[in-house]
Amino acid sequence: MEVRSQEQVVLRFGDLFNTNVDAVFNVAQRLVWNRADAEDIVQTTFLKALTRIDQLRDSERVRPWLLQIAYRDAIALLRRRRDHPTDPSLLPEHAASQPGPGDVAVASEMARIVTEALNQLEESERIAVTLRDVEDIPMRDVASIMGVGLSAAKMRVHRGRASLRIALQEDARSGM
Amino acid sequence: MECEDLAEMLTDLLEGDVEADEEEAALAHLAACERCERVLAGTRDVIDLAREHGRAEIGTEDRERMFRELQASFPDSQ
Repeated sequence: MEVRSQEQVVLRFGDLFNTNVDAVFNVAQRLVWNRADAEDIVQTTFLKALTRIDQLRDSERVRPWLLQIAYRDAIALLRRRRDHPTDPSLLPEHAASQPGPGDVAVASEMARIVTEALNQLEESERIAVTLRDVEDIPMRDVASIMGVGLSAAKMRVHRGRASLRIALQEDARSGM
Repeated sequence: MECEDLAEMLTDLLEGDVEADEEEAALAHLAACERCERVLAGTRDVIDLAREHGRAEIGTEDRERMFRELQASFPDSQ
């Protein structure tokens, strides 16, 4: 069935946005650590979705597709940061050991602890854990989003979980 | 099965992506190896913590604002 009216487009897009925006923002934020940049990535991602609203029917496939767009945009931004390290418009908003501004709304102490532990992970491991464990994305889709094979995705998740476990244990010890 | 073998298949085990005989061997090793059992339990705890507390929240107001901004891009909204 084709989308025929503006009202139908708005309704379908609203559903798509509300169902997926938190996951898209989370993945973007965990990569770029800059709320404004993460919001830009969200906007770009959903604008692309809007142009293909008629084709986005399989809800199980939509989220990985959206996350892949956000992931690629975020990686492109990180490359620009590396290529232009002194451009203030491209900088993250915080030092590497601090939680990101996207976490301002996160109220609980445990959320702060987990965020700081995630932040200590190497980039590819952090995103693999974010996709697989935080967003509950199937492993085969984690691989697809990150553009790697299934074995590499599993390895990143494995290493990320191990690093996260160590980081959380160190936090617990330091809090004693 | 040795501890190194268990470590290598830990992710597959958690994914439920192992053959029945491999799972049986892993469970037998875990029953006998306190260290590996602790690693498995700790990894499960980490997964639970990440799932429950690991999301960067966008916030209701910002979510609504972003949707309003996107609405301006709808095909017939000009």
